[in-house]
Amino acid sequence: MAGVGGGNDFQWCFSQVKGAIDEDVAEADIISTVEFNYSGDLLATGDKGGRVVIFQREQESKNRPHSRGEYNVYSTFQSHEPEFDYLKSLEIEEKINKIRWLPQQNAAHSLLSTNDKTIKLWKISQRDKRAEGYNLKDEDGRLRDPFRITSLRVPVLLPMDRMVEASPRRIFANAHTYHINSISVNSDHETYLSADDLRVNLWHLEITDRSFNIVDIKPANMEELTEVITAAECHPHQCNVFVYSSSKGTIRLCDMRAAALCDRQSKFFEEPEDPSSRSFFSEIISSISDVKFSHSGRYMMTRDYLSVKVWDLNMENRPVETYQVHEYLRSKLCSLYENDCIFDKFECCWNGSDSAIMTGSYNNFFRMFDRNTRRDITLEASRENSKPRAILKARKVSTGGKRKKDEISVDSLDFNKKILHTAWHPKENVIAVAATNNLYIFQDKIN
Amino acid sequence: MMMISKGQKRKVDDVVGGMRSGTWESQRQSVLGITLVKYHRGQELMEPSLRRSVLIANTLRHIHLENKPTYGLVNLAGPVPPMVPSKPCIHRESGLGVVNSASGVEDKEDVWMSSESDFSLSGAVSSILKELDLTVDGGLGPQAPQRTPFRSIENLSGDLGLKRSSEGCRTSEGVAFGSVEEVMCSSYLQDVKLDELFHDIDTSVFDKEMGVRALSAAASDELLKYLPSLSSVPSTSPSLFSLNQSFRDLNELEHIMEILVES
Repeated sequence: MAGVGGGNDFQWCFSQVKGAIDEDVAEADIISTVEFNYSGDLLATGDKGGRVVIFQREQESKNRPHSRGEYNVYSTFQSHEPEFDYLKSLEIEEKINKIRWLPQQNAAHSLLSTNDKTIKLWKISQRDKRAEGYNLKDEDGRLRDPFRITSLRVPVLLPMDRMVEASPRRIFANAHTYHINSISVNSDHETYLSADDLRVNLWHLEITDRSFNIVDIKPANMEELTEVITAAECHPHQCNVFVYSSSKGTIRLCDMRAAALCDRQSKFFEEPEDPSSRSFFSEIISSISDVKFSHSGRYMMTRDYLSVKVWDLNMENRPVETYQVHEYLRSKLCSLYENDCIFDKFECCWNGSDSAIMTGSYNNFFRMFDRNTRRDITLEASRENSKPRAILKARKVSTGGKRKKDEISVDSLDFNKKILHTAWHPKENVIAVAATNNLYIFQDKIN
Repeated sequence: MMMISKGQKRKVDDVVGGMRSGTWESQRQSVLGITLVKYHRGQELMEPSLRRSVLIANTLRHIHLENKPTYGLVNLAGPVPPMVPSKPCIHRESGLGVVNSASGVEDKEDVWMSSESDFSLSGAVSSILKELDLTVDGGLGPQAPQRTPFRSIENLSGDLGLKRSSEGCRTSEGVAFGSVEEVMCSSYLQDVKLDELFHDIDTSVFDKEMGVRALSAAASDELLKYLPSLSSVPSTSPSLFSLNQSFRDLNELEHIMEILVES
């Protein structure tokens, strides 16, 4: 795939936007996770209200060959409900923290969705045919009197309006004392891991009453706690390898073959701190909010507050690439600490060929970096740029005194409009960007 | 098992000399103030985020640690007080956070601020994490169970045994607060605990260990400014904290305790 910048490279166009247009955003409608499935034909979103909405890509129509298939609603269901933990007098939010698709094994689709405490396996199946002409029952379902049947007929399959059904097939509960931040399906397609602030558990997809604890960083005395787990992921090809990141900016790679308890890491990734940029907030901004393996499995990418780093799994002492997402915020860290924005957890993602990476920012901006050309671009997800197939214009934040036309100054950025969740189609240049309660879909322009 | 990270984070001595200016100090104060407010508000959240609490607690620690200048650094802000013997380690087990103020040249006000804020910071840090353990973990306690691999999922309903606080006069109150907290689990009581903590520090520490140190009205006012949750009544007395509210809360708490004990 070619690059992400302007010019000869691909140009990003608006394709669709899903969600309400109201200025008043209902808290429950805020999108909390976005994920394409393995083929890219399905796109799932989870929201704070515990609902999952799955979009399916329509087949390309012959009438409009220039437009790729659009994503339309395929299924909507309530995955998690709010709960109350009576023991601790705490509400358990129904917000969907993560969705991960399982590889498709039959006609049905399966995904894992999780809130803070409970992971559920949902099976989504569709019916678009029904049988007619039964011998033993009428069309309305009433049983026919066997003595009245004088002839036999073969039932026929007739098309019907497509009906999509989602049913919870497994519920993996009661294994996490702390809030689940990650789930990741293993490459063996039989197991998956779930991680909370202090522990990582390994599950078998068929077994719900038991999980293996493979990482535990809880100190004997909680007063000694200085570091939490922020994200975890299974290696895409080696089913014995996984990584987890921490709030101190470190990543540990573990091999499940080495020991049953992976408290000792196989590899430890940390970049030495730059003493000249040290501040009171150094630790907070080093906290890693997302970690993602490349599709190849050779690299992994981490997102901290101000940057995205690409690591070669064979080099632990520093990343091979560092991309600044919004360095202009470095001088504003105190204000961002005050208004809590400094704790925002941004995600990041690779494109299908690992040649580009994408992550979100504030003011509904999102950033893309081309690893080969080293070009980057800032785009905006907004209703103003929502004309069909309109090409997105590159945005720029002015950092100096002089603000050029079309630039926006740092102080004018809207920090309530944050893009935390983005997803890239596994094979094509189609991206999904969650902007609060709206889901934007952008595609490259077909010439 | 405590997580031992290989890349142990930076020592304080990395502080660049130029940072010890007035603006740095004022930024430190404002970050300290924001942090304490944040901690306070965080207790009222329905969903305490462990990550957020740990990051805030660590920030408090950094603020507290960075107040100790390295040898050779000169504070251009004020006069030179007598040197104080230093032991730059923090005993976090002690709820009072016994920290000797650092050696080095410091402004008199800085010494005062650092010592008393050392106690309050360490204590606040301790109390943040202690309460996290109580509210989030359901009181599984400080014991580390013998872990065997392939252990089944843990049962969430751990024993509600009272946590054993390490030492200090907070111990009995900590335990008592713990049990009351678990029964009532209201942020009101958690507020009281923080107030109570500062209340303890105020009387025991300054009388015994600080000796006669004149607490300037300006300094106390400045600190009061950064502790809005505590200073509901502007105080003209040299005491740092408004004790009135704490006393009222304490009396109510004692009353509640009596009821609970009798029932």
